[in-house]
Amino acid sequence: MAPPTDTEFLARCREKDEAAWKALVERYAALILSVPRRYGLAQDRAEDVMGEVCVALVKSLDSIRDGHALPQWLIRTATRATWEAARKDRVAMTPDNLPPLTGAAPPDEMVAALEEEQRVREALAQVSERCRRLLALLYFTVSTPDYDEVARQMKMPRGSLGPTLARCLDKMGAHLEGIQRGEE
Amino acid sequence: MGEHPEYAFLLDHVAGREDKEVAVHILGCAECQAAAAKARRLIDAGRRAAAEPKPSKRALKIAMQAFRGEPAPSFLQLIFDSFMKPATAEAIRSGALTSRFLRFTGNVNVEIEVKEGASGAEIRGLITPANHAPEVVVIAGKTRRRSKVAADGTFVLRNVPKKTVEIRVGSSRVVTDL
Repeated sequence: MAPPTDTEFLARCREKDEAAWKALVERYAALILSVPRRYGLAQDRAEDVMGEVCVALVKSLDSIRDGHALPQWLIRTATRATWEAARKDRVAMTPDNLPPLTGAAPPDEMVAALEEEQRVREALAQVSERCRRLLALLYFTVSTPDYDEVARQMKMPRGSLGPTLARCLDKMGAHLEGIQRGEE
Repeated sequence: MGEHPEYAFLLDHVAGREDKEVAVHILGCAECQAAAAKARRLIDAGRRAAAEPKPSKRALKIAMQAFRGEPAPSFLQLIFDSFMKPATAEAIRSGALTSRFLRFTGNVNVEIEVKEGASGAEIRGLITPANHAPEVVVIAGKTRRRSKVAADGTFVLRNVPKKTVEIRVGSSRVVTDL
């Protein structure tokens, strides 16, 4: 069964449903925190930024009715809160691979990249632990271990990897499509 | 290889597992080049996401506090540490180096003097405004020490283990080594 959509979660949050808020936060905490972390904020300051974003979201629950708009809203709000935190701390942060941090909206390219990460994160959250581990070992680690090593780490016969991988890719692909269409 | 490679082979190629047949096929196949570019975006996004540490319990707690309308804890910033300044000859002669002075600021100002006590550190401090919180709590591992804040904002904590401590003043916090 597909998990509730963001639109459904937002509606339940407006009704003061704390469980819905918790689920929404668990879905998006990594996305929100990734913005201040990438701009070099320390862990505790990144968490303060997350607090600011959450307070802003609670205040905006009435105005964000369409769940599709939520990821972008969170990225833009987190970027602005990161800029505010950096300004207060008098820290200048412009990592080489990111656009300069200003009070203005982040570039569309950065927003799109963060949204893509979020889709992968959500799709992986919906497959089994075994699939998640297999896909992570094969594709989402920089070291790229060979199939024998992956089989050893998965404690699976080498011959079972292919069929298992095919099923896991199908499931992840289906979830990615569902997320893209806004059904999940 | 005449037929298009399976998706898993394409992902393997993009992830960095060498396969000459797949590489040659992609070179001559516009459709596969587009699919490889899409696979590249997926793998890059997945790797960036995987590199992120999991949100801490504190982060999730802050989010829940926001929903309930409770004030979120705020970390104070260190703005002065006497141990970070070169000691003067006079300070060394006078024995002033037996104390360490630290000053933090944020939604409240906290100044502390840390001295070596008989069994652990003694912390004497001042918070301004004085009415920011009724007590100060120091957490050092499993040890907790509490001190009421006097009307003038002063407080004293004794027998604090000499290690990394968290000092809580209302919803404000400081983490420092003693």
